[in-house]
Amino acid sequence: MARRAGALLQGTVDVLVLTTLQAGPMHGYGVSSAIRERTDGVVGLDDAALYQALHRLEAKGWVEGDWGTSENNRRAKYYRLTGKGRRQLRKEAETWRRYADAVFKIIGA
Amino acid sequence: MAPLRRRRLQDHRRLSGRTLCNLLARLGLRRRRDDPERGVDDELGYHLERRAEELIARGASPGEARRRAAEEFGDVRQARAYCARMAARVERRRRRRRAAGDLALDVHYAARTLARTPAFTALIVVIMAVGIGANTAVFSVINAVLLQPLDYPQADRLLQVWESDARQGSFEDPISPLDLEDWQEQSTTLAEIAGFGYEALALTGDGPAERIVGIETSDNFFATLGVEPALGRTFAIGEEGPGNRVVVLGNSLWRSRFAADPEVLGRSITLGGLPCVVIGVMPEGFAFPSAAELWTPFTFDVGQMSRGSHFLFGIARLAPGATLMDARAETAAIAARLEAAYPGTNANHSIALVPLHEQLVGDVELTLWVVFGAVGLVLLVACGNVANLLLVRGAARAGEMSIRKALGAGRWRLVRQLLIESTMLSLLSGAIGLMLTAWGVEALVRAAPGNVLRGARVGIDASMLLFALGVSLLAAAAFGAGPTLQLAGDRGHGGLLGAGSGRTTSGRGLRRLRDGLVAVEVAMTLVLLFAAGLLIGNLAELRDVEPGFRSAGVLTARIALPPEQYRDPASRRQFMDRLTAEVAALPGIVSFGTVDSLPFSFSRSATSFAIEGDVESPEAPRHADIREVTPGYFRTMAIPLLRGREITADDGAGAPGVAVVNEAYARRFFPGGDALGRRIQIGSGEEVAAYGEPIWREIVGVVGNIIHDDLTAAAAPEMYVPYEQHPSTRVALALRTRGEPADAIEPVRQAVLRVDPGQPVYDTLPMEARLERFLAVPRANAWLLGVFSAVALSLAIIGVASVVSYAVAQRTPELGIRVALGASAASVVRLVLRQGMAPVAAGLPLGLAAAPLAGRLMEALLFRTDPTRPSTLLLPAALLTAASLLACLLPARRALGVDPIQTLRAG
Repeated sequence: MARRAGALLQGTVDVLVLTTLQAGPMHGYGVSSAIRERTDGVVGLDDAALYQALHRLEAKGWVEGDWGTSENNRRAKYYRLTGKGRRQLRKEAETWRRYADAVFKIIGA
Repeated sequence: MAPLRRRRLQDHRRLSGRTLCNLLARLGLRRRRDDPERGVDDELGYHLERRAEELIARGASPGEARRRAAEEFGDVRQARAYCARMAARVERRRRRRRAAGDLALDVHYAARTLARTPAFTALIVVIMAVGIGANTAVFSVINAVLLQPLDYPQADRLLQVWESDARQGSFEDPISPLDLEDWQEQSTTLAEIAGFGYEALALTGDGPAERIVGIETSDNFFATLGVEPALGRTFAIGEEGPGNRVVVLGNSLWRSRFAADPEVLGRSITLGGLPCVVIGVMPEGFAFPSAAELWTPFTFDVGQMSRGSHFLFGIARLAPGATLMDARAETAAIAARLEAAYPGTNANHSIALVPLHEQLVGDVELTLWVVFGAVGLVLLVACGNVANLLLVRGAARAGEMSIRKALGAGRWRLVRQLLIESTMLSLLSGAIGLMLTAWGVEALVRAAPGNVLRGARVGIDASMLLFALGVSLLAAAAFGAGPTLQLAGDRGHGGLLGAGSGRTTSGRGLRRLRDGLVAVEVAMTLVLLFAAGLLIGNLAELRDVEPGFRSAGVLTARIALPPEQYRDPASRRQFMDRLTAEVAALPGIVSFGTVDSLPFSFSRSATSFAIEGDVESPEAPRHADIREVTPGYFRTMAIPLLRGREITADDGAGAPGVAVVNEAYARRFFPGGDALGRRIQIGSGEEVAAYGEPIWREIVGVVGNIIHDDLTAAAAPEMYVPYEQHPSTRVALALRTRGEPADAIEPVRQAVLRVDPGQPVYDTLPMEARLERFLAVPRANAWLLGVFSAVALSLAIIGVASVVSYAVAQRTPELGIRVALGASAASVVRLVLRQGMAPVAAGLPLGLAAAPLAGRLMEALLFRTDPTRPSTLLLPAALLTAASLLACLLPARRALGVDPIQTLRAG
């Protein structure tokens, strides 16, 4: 049961990361800040899970990492969405929307 | 506005950074240190730092900030391990991709390099395509003919069976049907022994009369081979002997004559004037012996045959568990028993067993290996030449290589680049060569006379593809090795210094390598020229053999009277009388005669005979060839009468028995005195049929020897008897014509049809063409080796020319200075010649040493030519030298035209 919850959470994190990267290439810290800003801190995503998600997505080939120079002139790893990642995001987002609708139907009704 | 611009700038910077990194990586400059774990540490560290900085900016103390950042982050240790695992996976994938990308890049680069010099590339591809194509063609023939087993079940257990007579020196003689029957009864090591004989048959009805090759077989013929019919059945055991009028059709006859009609089974067809029921059709591709068009069972009664009459061929299948050695031991014992039982006919007779595959390929095997060796040498010469061309270009590319090396490209990377180039060249050549192969196989099969290249398929199959691929890769390694060695040997950066001026340093090593290659080419070409010279000389010598008759102006044709229709000897005489009258009435015929077996027509007959008062060994059967002729035969063939008289029209059926013998016969059987006036008794079936028992015949004349079919052998003893006294059903016509022999073909055909409309003439050929046909094998050999050595010679000449012109081009400034200093034209030419002839001079002794070895291998193919005769060696050497000198001429002219002022200025 715990594993399933974790898996669900993992899927959630993946969708959040992919959505965030839609805006353009970003390093991990950027992704973390963006999610925190956009969700007003409601989604308590810990950074350890975020980085694991980034690397997992890279291994799957959905995002691509490359070293670059950050705003404050330091070496940072930038991630960007690949074509495969974009297609995956569309699919996952749709699933999520339906899932959320279903939940809303139950609790809103 | 500002953040947007900043982002663009970053993007740009990142992009160009990546491009540069890639570029450097590809040039082999940047050593990537993509340690995944270090990357993760950097990444996580960066995050924690940034978060802490942010918290400090919001007023937290540094210690507090670091603690909170770590707290927010969660389990760093676990995340780090997980990320490192993932990063390692990503890195592995990246590395694989990069290797593939590098290879693709190299291939792309090689393709561009080759495309940049289309003429050069085309030259190499043409040279190699011819080499690879020719080799693959010869290989596929060898594969089909020598390496593949025969297409019968357990074909390695099939044997050809012969009778042999050691005393006569003949080891592969036809078999007497009575002997065959005894062998079948007594042998246990041979599961089946089958006999067969050729019969030319007229197939009439259902379209025009057609002469076809029928095979008369014993009832177990198909069982011995182990083949099943495609339709119907083959002969049942016991289905042989008089009255068995059944026939099994060959597939191609079934298609051509009966439109592949499956309803043909049970139909009656007319063979040799008699009805015959079709009981089966053989599958496609089956033809044994190879000329067979249909098969009928023996129609003779074995009991009625004479043990002395030998006319069958035999095949046998080893019994399970028995070896060839067992069978040979057993058949020797059987032959000894028969010798004891029938001393009159079987003295000195033994049985010879030859594996069928060996029997069928025996004559071609050595030829094919010689041709394969020759074509292999051509490929090696081609490789040498291409290596040479690549070396020249390699020298021209030294600049490019130096630059790449200076930029940090590893030596391996450059070597790989060169190997990829040669592999691409070779594979391209191989592909084109394969297309040439199909054509080449066709040419080979066509060049080969008769059916010797049995089963060679003209299609492209897997083994051919594999062979071509293998040869291409080997060739790539062979000619790619040169430039690679050159690269490995070039340690300095001389190329880089010279690159700007378009001149490159070319070390002494390179020159030696190229000279060495040309020397080896010259040596191999000499061997090929020598081999071709041997075969051409051989052909010429065979042509010069005097056959003992004059073939020019003589037309020949054959008729096979159906024995059933012409059972009575009187009917045969009647046919001959009418034929003689009809032909004599034709215009333009100088003389006319008939014989049962024409020289050079793949037929001969021999018989046993006895000499009156033979005291030497009265029991021993003597054997000699027998020919039955009509009076005009000797005159028509211009066979000279040496003593006594010819056969005349007076030597009829009722007249006293006479015979004419040839010189070889007189010498052999009457060594002491003249054969004239002596009497002989002939034991042939026709003699018995005509007279009831052998009669005494007086030898009334001696004629000159003729060569019957083997130009390399001495003339065989022959007896000639008058047709009227010894009429058989085999009739061959010889006509000396006033005009072109071929013009008489149609009138003769009509004349024969007027005598008997059911008897088509066949095998109608000018006598000269028959002789030529027997020269086809040696001619094909000479022709093939001639072509191969010509190709090798031109390649070697190209090699010499390229070495010389390169040297001249390189030494132009030096030559300019020499000319400016007053060097004579002669000395300049000498200089150039020395350059070009040095490798030739080195290669010639090599070739001269190797050629006699090749000659010894080919000895069995030669008739009289002595492979060690010096003249056969000197001629190719002279030819090669002369051609090499010619190759030096053009560059020498260029060297003479060097303008000293211009070259000095350019220098």
